[in-house]
Amino acid sequence: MEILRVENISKTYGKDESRVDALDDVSFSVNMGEFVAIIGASGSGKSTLLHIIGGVDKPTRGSVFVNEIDVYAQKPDQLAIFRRRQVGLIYQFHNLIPVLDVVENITLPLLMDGRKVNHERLNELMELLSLNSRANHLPNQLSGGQQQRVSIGRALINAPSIVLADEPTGNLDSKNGQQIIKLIKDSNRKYGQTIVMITHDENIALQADRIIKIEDGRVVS
Amino acid sequence: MNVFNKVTLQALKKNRTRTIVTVIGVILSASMITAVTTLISSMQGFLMRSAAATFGDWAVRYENADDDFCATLANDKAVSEVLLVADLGGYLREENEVISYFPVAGYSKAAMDALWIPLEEGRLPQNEREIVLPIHAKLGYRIDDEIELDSGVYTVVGLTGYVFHATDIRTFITVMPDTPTAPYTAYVWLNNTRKVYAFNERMESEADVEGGVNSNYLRTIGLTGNESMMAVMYSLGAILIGLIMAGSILLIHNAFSISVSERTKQFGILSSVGATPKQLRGSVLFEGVCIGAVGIPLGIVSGILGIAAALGIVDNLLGDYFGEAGFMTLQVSWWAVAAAAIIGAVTILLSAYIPAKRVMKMSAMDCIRQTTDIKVSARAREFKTSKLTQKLLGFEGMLSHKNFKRNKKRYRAVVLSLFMSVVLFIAASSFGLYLKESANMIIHSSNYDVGVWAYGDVETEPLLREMYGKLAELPQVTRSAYADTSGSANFEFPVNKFGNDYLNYFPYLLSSDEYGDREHEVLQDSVRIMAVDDDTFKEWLSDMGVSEAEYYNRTDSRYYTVGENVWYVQKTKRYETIRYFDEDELDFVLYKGGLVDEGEGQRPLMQDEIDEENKMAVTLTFVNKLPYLFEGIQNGLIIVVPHSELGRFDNVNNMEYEHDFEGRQYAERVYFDMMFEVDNPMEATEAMEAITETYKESFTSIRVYNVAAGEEETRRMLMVMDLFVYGFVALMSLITVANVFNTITTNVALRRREFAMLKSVGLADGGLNKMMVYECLFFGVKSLLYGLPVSFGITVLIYLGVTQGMDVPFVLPWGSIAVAVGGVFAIVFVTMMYAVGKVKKENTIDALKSELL
Repeated sequence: MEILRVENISKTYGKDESRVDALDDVSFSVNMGEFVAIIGASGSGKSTLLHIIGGVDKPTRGSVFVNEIDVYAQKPDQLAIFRRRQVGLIYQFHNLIPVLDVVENITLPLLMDGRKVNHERLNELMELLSLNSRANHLPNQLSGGQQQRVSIGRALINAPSIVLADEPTGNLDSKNGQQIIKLIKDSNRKYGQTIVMITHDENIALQADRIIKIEDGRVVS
Repeated sequence: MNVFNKVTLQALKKNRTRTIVTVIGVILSASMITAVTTLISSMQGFLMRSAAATFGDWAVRYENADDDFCATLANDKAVSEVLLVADLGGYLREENEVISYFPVAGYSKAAMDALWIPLEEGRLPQNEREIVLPIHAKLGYRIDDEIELDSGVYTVVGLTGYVFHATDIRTFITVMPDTPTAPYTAYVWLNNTRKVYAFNERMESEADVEGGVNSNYLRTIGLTGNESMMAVMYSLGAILIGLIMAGSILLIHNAFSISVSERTKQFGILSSVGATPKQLRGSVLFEGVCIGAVGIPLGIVSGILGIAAALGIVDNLLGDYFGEAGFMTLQVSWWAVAAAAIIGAVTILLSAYIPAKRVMKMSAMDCIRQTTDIKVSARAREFKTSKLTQKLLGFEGMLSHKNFKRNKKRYRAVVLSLFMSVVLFIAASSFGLYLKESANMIIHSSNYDVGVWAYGDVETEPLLREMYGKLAELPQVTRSAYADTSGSANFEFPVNKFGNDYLNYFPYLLSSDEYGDREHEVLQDSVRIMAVDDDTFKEWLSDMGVSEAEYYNRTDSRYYTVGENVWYVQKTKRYETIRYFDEDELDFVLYKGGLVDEGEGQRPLMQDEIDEENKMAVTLTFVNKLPYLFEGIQNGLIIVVPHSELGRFDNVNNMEYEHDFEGRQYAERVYFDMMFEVDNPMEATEAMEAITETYKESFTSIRVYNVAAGEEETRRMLMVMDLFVYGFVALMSLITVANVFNTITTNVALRRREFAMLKSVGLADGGLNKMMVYECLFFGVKSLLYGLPVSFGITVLIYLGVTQGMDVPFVLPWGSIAVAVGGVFAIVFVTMMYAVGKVKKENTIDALKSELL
């Protein structure tokens, strides 16, 4: 079953002489439960693509459908709720809220919804992420790897339709990086979580079900 | 507590310095609004008490009231109290001849208590055969003298100053007879003073009376028609409140825009994990509520305490100075406090909301990256740094220049707050300047501290001069002058030859009346002759840029004459300085006046009926001020001559005419006005009284007048005004300095990473300083470039507001402009160095790693 469909997405920055085409007519789709890796050189437009899929950046042209809903046809509030419930974003630089502790950061999407935290799922996640002993630490008391695990927890807590990861290991050493990839794969297997992940590491990409290669803003394979 | 509020609170806690500065901003602005409104209501209370003390707090007064009307008043439901004063007539008789009319009023005990009688000497009358006389009527009666009036013979028991509440300030006051008869003057108090105009209208339509409302008092409780002074006060007040609002809104707004731009990334993260714009807005508003909840109450309390302290200090220092009425006491107007709270809250909410709205419009990624502030333009030329800049400040200058060009938003906040500071400071100073200008114009503050007035027979003139010599030698005296003011001369002038302004002011001079067309009539008027001591005269000459030799050696009959006066012009409702003549110089014939019988009465002698020897042809050159110590007493046309030249006027001196009018032997008297500038008015007055006491028997009258005490009312007003103005300027300066400090330190703190990066690639501390110097210059120049013209504009507005009621010249507050220009650079440099100094101390790597939250 198709969960994500990207139709003729283009994104341009600037005007006239200084115009940059970050994405040029990109189309593809992803099925439920699929683990897709997007690879491409630096500046090829892969991050822009991911952000557009996640509803945090706007395309210049084209549409994104998640569960057959046109993401950018939604009103700002609907879009925010879409981000909250349908998408989990993992950044290269974790982007945690520094004044909230580990549990609060992970449960942020739930708290925003005003929903009760499902403690069973939280505990399960905390265990999966090996963060049990760090529950009440603030982000600046954690190592880089731990911080990234928190951001993975935040992406997964809501069981979103789709998890988007932007070079989640880019900022980590190889041992920590491996752990993170394992976690993402586990969630894919265990929960049937659909995952779209950007990487420039061929070895990591090979662990995915499918690889989409981007060059100069176009899908080449 | 929801997660947004928690994030907000934690962020407030974590950025303690910024939070504190923001709260201080709110405190300052709330306290300023409270302070100003409290000061205004305290001042109003003070003016009200002063006016009540001087003029009485009655609402309306009816003269010539008969018994019926008095009964009507007493029975009217709107009236709370009526006090009657019996009009006893009052032709002054001497040796059975009527000399002049002075109103004599019989006061009941209650009336004497309720209406202030300004006793200067002696005591108040205790029975109906005792009387007090106004000292300024210069009648020559002393305490214990008998005075014969047509209502009887009285014993003088005291001398009074001006009786302000009475219709005639020269009223003689005695005690009301046991069986008084009409007419009376009825002083009326109302249950609701605010309805005084309606009450008076009703009375005037019901009975044949004409009421006089106590406008001097009513004005202070805000009950007045469309008077010019009120128009001025309202225009100025509106500008003042506008300035305060602008200042506090700017301060709070700045604090929040900084806070929001700091939190942009946080908003980005929250937004990317699904916060709705509404939730983010809520979080900003929550921040506003938190800051307001702390800042506004503290601000209100500190504003009130501040004014209380200020008033306390002034009262301690100057308490005695203000006499029984006392100085201002703290009067908190609760509606004003509520207004301050509401204004503060609205300002905070708007200030929080507007920058937040801007952030909401950005995409989540832009927020996280914080990239949108950098301007990317195709036209690279725009960002070229001039060679001169590069040469002068090198690479560092170029770097900061590029910073400005590409990142205008970041600097706009600093330039804007400096700009507003300059505008507010200069506007506040202009405001004060014009407030004082207009007050001075009406109040005529004197330059002397102690005045001694004496008169006596002509033969005593050398004695008067001897006494003046002794007084002037007192150690307390720093400057002195005397003037013989006995003389005046008549002149005749075709009415239509007066200046246009003068004729406009006295239109009846030209109008036709029962005597026919007056346009071609000749007006007889008098000009006073003031003979000041030669030293003072010489100073005056040099003030005017005239050399002594030029004056003393002149061969023609040229005299300097003050030819203008300040009048309240009904038509324009303004106080205006009006010149008698349009010309700078005119030829006159002065002559000695006199009366001649004609028909049933008498008329003054005309010029052609006077002997040639009693005439004197003069050329009068008009000037606009009297010698220094005499400034502020001008009234009419005055020829000023050195005492050594007084003899030239001997044949035209006009005393006989005055003799007939005032009823005393003026021709044989000499009047001396002696003015002293002294160090210690109290001590000097005592010393002078001791000296004059020894001369008491030689002269008809000697009076020592301590202006410091005597012009209490005036000085009080001016002092209150000064306090108000300087307090306002001080508060404005404080708020603007806080503002600039807040903006610059945050600006620098936000650039920690940039500085650290520059340091990590090898920029020395000296280089960093160079960059900062360039930035300071940029901030200063740019803010002055916009700030000065705008402040001039506001000064013009204030000027226009004032000229609605007052004929004041246009002036710019140059002193404050200089302070503003110097101050801008000083504040920017000091703040910048402080902020950079703090950043420099930091570990480069920590700063590099630091996230902007």
